[in-house]
Amino acid sequence: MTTARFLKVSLLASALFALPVLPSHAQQAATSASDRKLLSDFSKKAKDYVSKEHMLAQAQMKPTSDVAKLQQQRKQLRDAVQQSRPNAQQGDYFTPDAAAVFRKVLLKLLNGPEGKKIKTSLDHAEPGAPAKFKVNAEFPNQNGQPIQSVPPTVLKVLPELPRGLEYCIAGKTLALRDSAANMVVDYLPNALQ
Amino acid sequence: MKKKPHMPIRFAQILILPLLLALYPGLPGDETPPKSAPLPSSTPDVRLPLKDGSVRWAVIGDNGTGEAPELDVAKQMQQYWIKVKFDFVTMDGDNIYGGHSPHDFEVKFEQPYKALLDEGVKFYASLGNHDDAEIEINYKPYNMGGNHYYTFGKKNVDFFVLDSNYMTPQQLSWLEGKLKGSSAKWKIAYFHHPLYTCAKYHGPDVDLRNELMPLFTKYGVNVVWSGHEHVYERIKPQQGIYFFLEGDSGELRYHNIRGSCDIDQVGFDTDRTFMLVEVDGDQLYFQTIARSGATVDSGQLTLQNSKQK
Repeated sequence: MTTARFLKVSLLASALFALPVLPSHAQQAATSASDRKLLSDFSKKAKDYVSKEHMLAQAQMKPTSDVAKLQQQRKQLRDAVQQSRPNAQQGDYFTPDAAAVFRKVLLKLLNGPEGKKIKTSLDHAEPGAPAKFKVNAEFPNQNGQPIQSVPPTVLKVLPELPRGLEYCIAGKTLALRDSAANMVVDYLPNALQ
Repeated sequence: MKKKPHMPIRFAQILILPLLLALYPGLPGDETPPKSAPLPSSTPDVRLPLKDGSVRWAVIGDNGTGEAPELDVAKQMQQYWIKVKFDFVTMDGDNIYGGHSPHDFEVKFEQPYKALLDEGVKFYASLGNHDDAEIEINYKPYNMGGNHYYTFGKKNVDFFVLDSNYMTPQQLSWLEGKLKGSSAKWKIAYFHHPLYTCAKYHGPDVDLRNELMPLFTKYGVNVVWSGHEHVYERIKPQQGIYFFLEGDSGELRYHNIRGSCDIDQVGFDTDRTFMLVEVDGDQLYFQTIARSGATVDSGQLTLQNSKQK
């Protein structure tokens, strides 16, 4: 290999290694590096939550015809998670800094070109679960109220969640729901302006 | 002593009111249908060709009420199964309304479809906004394998079952991978929220449409089923794809289809229905049956771009 060719290859390799990891949709939506870091930290905390809390289940839900067993397993998981984090409170995940970024990202989305169809999609929803949430409590849909579907464009701009956690919209509130335990992990009031 | 009504009023009572009731069995906007169930017709009027080796299934949506109309539809399905012998049933979501206790599953699913379940007919559910996802994905008779979205194949037909309540980038990426890898002749997607509809209660989910249509067109999805609106619709092909809305197998919204809407080929919003489908080679045959046993729609669709497949 000639010196010139060696230099070219080295430069190309250095450039490739220097490329940052491609950001997710959510990170792309956030405007500054500090916003992106906050959203990335939120994602990591969510992953840690599932790794830690869902390990508390005595038995993971597996397909069965026995609905009572599934209900019992879910309640056991919820009881275990509630006991494991007795001091959990609103803002643990949607910390004041993270909350500000979430609100900013959602405001930008709703005021952007996609805003009209997202609002239409939300307006078309059936009356859902009440928007009064309590951290660590069972999700307030015990009487079978439908849970509002989250428009795909909204999910694109929010940080990715691991399986077992979901975002949920009720009125203007964005909730973080433990879907496996059917429990409120945290919520952000006035997330959608 | 009671006064006798005047003659014109009496005339209206005797002649006009029965006429109006015959024309409009439910008053416009009335969501409460008559409770008396029409008896299943004694001889199913099957309009499918029932060819040897074909893939046959039934479609229901928004069914899980546990009330008389769901049971009537289930009885019709049972009657038709005797002749059609469909192997499975696809469910467009809202499989269980209200509570999700063991008793709810019993009265809203196991009892209505007992005869079919006993015959080994499989049900493949998708999730609606009224469903309790974590319980239902693990409920074995729904064959979801613990997944919110999944795929299954029957001979030359691949089914892509989506969770339209929560269409994450991960689900879209999964769908793209599965569509890309499918070599089936027919690719059929079903999920709860409609991309196109003339029904006025919810309307189409345009946000979802913008995400799904590029994938459906790119990878050659042939037919899409959805529910959510409590009516039956056969939509004019959109970007070459056939669309059905089957969302009234338990619930119903009377007279909910907008008259001014021009994308419906057929719309039916005065009784509950279910569908029968048969795929044979490049042809898909369908028949939509009301709980009275009357056929409200039927026809034949040809595989799009069949030469390329």
